[in-house]
Amino acid sequence: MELTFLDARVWKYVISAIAKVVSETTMKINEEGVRIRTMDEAKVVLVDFFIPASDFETYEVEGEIEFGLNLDDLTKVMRRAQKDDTLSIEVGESSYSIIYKGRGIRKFTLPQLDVASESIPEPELEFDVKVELTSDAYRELVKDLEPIADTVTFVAEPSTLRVEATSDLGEAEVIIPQDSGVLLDYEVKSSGEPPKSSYGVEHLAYISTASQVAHKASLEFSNEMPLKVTFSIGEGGWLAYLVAPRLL
Amino acid sequence: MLFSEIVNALEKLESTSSRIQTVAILTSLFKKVLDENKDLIDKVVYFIQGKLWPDWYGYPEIGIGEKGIIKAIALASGLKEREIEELYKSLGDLGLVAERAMSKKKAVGLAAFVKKKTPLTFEKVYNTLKRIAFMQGEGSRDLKIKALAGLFTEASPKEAKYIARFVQGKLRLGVGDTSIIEALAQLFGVPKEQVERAYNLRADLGALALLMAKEGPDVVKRVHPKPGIPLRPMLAERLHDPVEILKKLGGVGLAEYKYDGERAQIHILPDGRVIIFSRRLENITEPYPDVVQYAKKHVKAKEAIIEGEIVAVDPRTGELRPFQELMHRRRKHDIHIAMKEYPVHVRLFDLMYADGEDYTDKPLPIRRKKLEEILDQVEEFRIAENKIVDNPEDLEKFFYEAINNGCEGLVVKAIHDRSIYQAGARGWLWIKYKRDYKSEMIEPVDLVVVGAFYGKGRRGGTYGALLMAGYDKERDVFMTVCKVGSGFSDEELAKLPELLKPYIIPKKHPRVVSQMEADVWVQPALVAEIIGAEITISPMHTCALDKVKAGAGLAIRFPRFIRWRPDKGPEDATTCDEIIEMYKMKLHKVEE
Repeated sequence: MELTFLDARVWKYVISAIAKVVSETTMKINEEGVRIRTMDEAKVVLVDFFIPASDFETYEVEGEIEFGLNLDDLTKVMRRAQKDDTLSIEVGESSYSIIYKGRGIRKFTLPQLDVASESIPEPELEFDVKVELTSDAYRELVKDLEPIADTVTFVAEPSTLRVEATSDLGEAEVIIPQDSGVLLDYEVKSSGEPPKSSYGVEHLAYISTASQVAHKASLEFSNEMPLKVTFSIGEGGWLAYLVAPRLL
Repeated sequence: MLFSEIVNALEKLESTSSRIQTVAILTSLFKKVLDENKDLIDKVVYFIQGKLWPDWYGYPEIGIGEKGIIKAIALASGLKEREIEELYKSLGDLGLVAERAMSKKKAVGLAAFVKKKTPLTFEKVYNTLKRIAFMQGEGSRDLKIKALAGLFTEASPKEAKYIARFVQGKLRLGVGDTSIIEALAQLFGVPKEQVERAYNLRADLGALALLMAKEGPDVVKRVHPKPGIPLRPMLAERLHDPVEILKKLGGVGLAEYKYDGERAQIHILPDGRVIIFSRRLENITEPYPDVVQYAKKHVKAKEAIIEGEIVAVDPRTGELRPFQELMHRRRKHDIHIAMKEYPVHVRLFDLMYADGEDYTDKPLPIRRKKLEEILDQVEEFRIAENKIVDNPEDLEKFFYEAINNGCEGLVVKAIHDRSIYQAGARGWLWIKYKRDYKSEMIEPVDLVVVGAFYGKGRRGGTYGALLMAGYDKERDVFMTVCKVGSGFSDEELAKLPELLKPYIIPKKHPRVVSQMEADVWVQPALVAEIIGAEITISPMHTCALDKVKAGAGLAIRFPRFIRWRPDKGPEDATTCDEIIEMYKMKLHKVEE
């Protein structure tokens, strides 16, 4: 088995972002690609990370393997990824290795964990609202709300995305008109009351750590339904989050 | 196995107070488990017992307190912590709180948005709780709470109720071990005495159920003790009268010192591991690495289960110390330091299993013979002081000797053909002979040095203990009352030879009355202040000889040196009459 990915830093950001949500998970490698699907302990956030075989420089995989990993440890190794490094993954019997090639070859081997592969539910959802914005804009939005927010509410008015936050400390409000240039795309299907849904700010903050992965983020939600945040990676890969709503 | 099946049974168990019904409910639950997935039977048994595994595994506990459960319910239900707390105040039961909160939940995690819901399984509940128990270290408190909340979001309100109670340790089903034993007996169609016997030999009902499920019910007949799984200990009855004791035992018995220590079942496993279980079947291997080493070194069997008492000893004199000193071992984090400060010895008294053979159904003399055979006895690890006695006088004398040597009394054991090891039972094969009266010592006395004993180990080259006497004014002699080795500072110890040198005499001073043979005799001159735990009857000391009890004197138990009294001469020492007064003043019945 041989896998090489051209830009090691993508993995660095992805893994450290997933590590914010969960500390142990499994990675599945098969002929289609590499995938991590996992949920946080409280079953509020689902993370789905996928890179298709075609996005790898070399991808020689037969059959399927799934193994457990400690993301805290892997994050430490991933921090060593430098600009211009390529990343290769090797999977052994009871360990796996991360290999950086750039300034010489650096190989890190970590043990596989005995993690039961959990059946992760597949919520089938349709979203009434789709917002696309730059990752930076998403990050700044969360940063604006974090000091005040406990719960963040998205309200999709016909041509304006309104984001409100409340906590014991006070209130905050961010208004992003469709034509402000921040929103790359904005679609609202609903015809009645503007769709409105609230989420825990800590979950939105987890996600903003992933914003370095891609330039664009897409936000999808419906009235009092989960929020899906997707960062596209390369040609066909993604890092997506699904966050359960908080009903107020 | 669906968790709702377990919950149904829990509900029924909760609402019945009839033993017969309890057993019937358990039997039908266990049957369902066997039909669906028999590998789960052990875990279901533990769950009914309100635990994830037997205590003696030494595994961590779930480790979420009331506050944490409240937080988890809040997280899972979308209600505010304050609201949950108020619910708790009015309902008084976290189970009911969880049930109520989860039925009016607002947001419930992603599970609520999955159309094809998979119902919660028992495996999932068990494995999640197990994972929570093993979350340790930094940030684990938060993770534990989140994981519990995650479990709540996947549970129905009723399921949440029992999960909350389980985590709180308040399942309160009123299901005792005997009900489970009866249910297993009914389920497998074997007499309950057989299951009970097997349980006594392997105190793990879950493992026993699994064994029967896998190997067939007949296996209970063949169950023998297994190193690694604790036996339920044999217990002793109690009597105060030596005549009665011997009568119960058929005229003769093996009397053993009853040490004031911690009873320990020492298991030697074929792979070389040693595991120690307490009387309450907790795994106490960790606080006693030295006992593990003794067992490794001095037990010659490949596989064995032996029993004894772990006793604290004074590191300088080797004398027994009271039980409380052992507790330092349990408390200390740095066990290697505690090992030096509070060294222990082991006094063994039984053997239940050795090299493939079950000894529990063999009479005591045979068990003892095997024990002697497999032991390479040393001072730290040897058989308890014992004596075969067939008359009350000898028994009483041996009893006071035991008390004087820091023991609580004696255990007198039957040695006839039927003197088997009755695991898990209290019977008349073993009889505790403890004092019914004792006299606590509350003020120090001034005693005269009349002899000395050479030190051992760390006290080599100096004296290890001094023979102390009180003054008998009437006869103008000095009568021994204790041997003191504790309480001296290192400096005081080092100075002893020099201090004693001018007074050393070749044989016992004519004014000293002693039954003990000192290594060195000393002319009565030096006076020291001494305190002890108790004043007790002693056949070994001469102070108050024949005055309180015929053939015995009084002695100070656990004496400690406080300081020298150079201002006092030997005749200024506390008199024997005063010691008798002190003894009588504080004499009271021992409450047990």
